[in-house]
Amino acid sequence: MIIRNFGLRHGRQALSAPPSAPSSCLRLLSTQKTTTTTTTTAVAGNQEAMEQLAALSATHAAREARLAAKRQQHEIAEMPSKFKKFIAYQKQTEKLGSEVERRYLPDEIIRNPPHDASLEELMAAQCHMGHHTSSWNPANSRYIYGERSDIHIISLEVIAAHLRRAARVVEEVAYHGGLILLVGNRKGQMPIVTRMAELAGACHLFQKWTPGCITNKDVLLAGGQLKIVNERDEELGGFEEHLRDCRPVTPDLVVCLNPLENYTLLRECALATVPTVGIVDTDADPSWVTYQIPGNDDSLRSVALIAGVLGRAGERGQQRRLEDAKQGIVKWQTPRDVRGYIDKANSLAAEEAKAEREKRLAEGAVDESGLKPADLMTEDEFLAEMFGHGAAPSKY
Amino acid sequence: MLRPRLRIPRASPFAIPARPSMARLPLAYRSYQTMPPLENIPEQEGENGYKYRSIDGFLSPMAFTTAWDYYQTHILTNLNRLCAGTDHETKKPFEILLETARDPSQAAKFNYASMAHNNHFFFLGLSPNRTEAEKMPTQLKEALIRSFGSLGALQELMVNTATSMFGPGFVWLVRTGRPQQPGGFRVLATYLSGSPYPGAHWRKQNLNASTDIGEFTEQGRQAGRQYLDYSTMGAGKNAASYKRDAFAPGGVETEPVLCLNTWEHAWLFEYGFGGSSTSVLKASIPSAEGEPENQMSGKEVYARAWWNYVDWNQVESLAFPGKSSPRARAQ
Repeated sequence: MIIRNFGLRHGRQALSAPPSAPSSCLRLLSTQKTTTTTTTTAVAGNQEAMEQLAALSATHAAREARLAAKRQQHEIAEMPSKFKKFIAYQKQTEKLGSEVERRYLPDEIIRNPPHDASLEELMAAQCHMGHHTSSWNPANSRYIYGERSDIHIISLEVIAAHLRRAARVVEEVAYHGGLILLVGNRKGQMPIVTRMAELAGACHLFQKWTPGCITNKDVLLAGGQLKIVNERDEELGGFEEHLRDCRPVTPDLVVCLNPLENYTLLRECALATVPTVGIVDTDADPSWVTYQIPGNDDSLRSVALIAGVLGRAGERGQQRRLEDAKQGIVKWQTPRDVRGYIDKANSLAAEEAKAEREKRLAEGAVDESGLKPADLMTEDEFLAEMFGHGAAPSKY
Repeated sequence: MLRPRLRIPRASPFAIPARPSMARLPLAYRSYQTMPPLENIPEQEGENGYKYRSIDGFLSPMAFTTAWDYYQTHILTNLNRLCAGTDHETKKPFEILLETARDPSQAAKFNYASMAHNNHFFFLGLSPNRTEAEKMPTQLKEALIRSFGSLGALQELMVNTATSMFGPGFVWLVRTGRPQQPGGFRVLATYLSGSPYPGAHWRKQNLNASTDIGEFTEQGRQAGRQYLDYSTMGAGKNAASYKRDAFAPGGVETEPVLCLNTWEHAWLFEYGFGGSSTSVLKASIPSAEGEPENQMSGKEVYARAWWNYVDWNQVESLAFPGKSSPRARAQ
């Protein structure tokens, strides 16, 4: 503000500005702290040096940024090969120390279920655990062994006996070519239901049953795809017309893993006289199903075991059916509607052939419908027949 | 209301037959850590039909059996005892040690898991026959020479590290991210059950708490601070205040490729504590220059002997993975 010093100070500083401004700027940019502050004050007041400093710092920063970007790009480019090597290394070292033997795999009961469940297996799978004594259905009293810790315990022998009966039903339905539907729509039952249906060659349902799929099937299942198969399960052609017009099918047996949540399905089955198998807990109504399997429907392990045994039974039935079919033994009949269609188609074809033949005869063609006995004989034989057997030697 | 969507079941390999061993085993444990097979050192049969392992010139049958069979069984028995009923019972020791490295309340589990892993690592790097370090695969040789100057220098470094460690532990040769450059390989010592893996750096235990951590050097002070940090972190200090380990995905910081076991049960039988001239393997061990052999401690003699029985092909397959395995190449 003091004018007399203004120019002087400015001038002095302009003169005293070091020629090597860039080097001093470099020092400013270094990370080390400078103990002297004279350089900074000298340069700070100088506009030109400031601009040079700014420009240099900009270029430095830009160069650093470019190098950093290049380094990062290089690192990113290296990552896939580095990761591969890391994985190859890990494979050699991650197993060191011990061999871990897994003795219980929860999925094993689904992947590879037993053909029959022993009482120990049923108990280990918690099949004997019923509900609180206050929420029981007295109709189930015949299945209950007793109570403990305020819950009803279902008798293991009763479970085993009923399970074996249901397994025989499933096996024989499969053997006789019946359509089985396996239903389990509680949370977590999807893998159980799909695997068991795969084993038994059955259909599966793990979502909500659409009401009316049996009693109102013509409306609800109208667009469904069907196929006609022979005794060896080979698809047959020539039935396209029938498949276009035929009614949707109903299952011949329904296995329900949670009957308490499927009242509608079981009621429809009852109306349509479709036999049902179901896991009946202590709070369920046993009259809803045809073949009860008393047991715990709340534990996934218990449901997996029971459904697994039934799936294996279905598998056995399918195998027996196909083996017998190879021998020519077929224990099931063609369904009535298919039979009707076949007969109708055959009779239509016969009529058409007859009409065709008559038309050609009317046009004057030779009736080559069949060979007469005379065509099969030589002339000698013909003469012998006409004039007696002495004419030619007997063949016999 | 939305109509329920169809959930497609996951495709799983359902057609796998049951493992036959599952029927035979008692069901007391759901999962069990058992002795791993040691395929690189074949079993020999003794007079009574007993099967044993040994490395002639390095480890006698008693030493081998103690250091491998008995010790590994002891470690795994304890590991099973600690892991029973937890999620760790189905995991491999390597996974267990990574998961428990930060938690002081699971220090025992870490110790046993880390010892199981380190012990197996040591025995995996041994060869039943004498090997020549000079004859190791060329890529590995060049990389080691670039890092240490010469193979002799590496040997001296590892032997001296082992000798100067007071107390049992392991001496590791680790590979860093750039193995072909100088500094691509380093030697690292871990005391007791320390682990060289970066994921378990909480329990590297590379410093002797009595001598290396202290107020005398900057490094000592830093080590002390780090030690306290780690213990408070494990004891429940706010994890958010701790900076995440900055490892790039797929980044390779350190990978151990070779280790030397300096626990007493490995070398005490053959080599004793030292100071006497009656070393069992006197003839085969080259003594240090200018030092009469009976000046070397038993551990040092053992470490020098170990150098002649390292399986360098195994080291190479760990240092430069992704190539064919040493066994396949040997065949």
